[in-house]
Amino acid sequence: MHEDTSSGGVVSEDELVRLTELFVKFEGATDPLSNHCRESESEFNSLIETIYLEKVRLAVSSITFSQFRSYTRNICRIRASKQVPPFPCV
Amino acid sequence: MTASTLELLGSVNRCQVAEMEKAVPEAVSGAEFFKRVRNVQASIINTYQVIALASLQTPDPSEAAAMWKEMSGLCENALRALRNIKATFSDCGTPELYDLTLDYKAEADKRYYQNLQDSECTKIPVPEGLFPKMS
Repeated sequence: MHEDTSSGGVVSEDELVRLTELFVKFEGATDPLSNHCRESESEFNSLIETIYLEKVRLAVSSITFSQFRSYTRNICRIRASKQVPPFPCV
Repeated sequence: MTASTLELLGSVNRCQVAEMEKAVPEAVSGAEFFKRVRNVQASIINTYQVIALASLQTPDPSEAAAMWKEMSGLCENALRALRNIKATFSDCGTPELYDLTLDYKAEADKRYYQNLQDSECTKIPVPEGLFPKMS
């Protein structure tokens, strides 16, 4: 499947790219107790909260933060599943 | 990761925990027991790594949740065994393994419940215009 970057949404393509990078880093972390994993998760949470508060809540009032978080994670998951699997030593 | 591979991994891990659990001081030396503890630790760390990478290869959060549930089950099984034997073999790495397993279980549970919640959201249509269109 190809993402058409010209068809924007409330969440931008750049934001989705960054969220997917962070999602892969913490959800696929081989050491869940590492600083690398925790920092990536923390950044993901901060970014998603900022996007929700500053854009999503104003544009789509019916959506809860919890729903938005899951919708976003599901899109990140679809994108991550199409990438080459990250190897722990890289 | 296929279901049968996950099942196979689970069988190997259960064997490692069972080997550690059946040790008694009269029959098993401290060095031998330490080796069994180390094997369980390796199972937990390695299985976590495999599941972390495998869970990213599926687009379906319910499949990812099932993988994390398996990881949580491995940790629960090891914790149950360790509760019974950590006092008997207290100087052979059991307290450290217990703490590590608790931490890994918490992380596996967090991922299990979040992916379960994500899978519930796949049943509700995403509001139009929320994300860039995928063609």
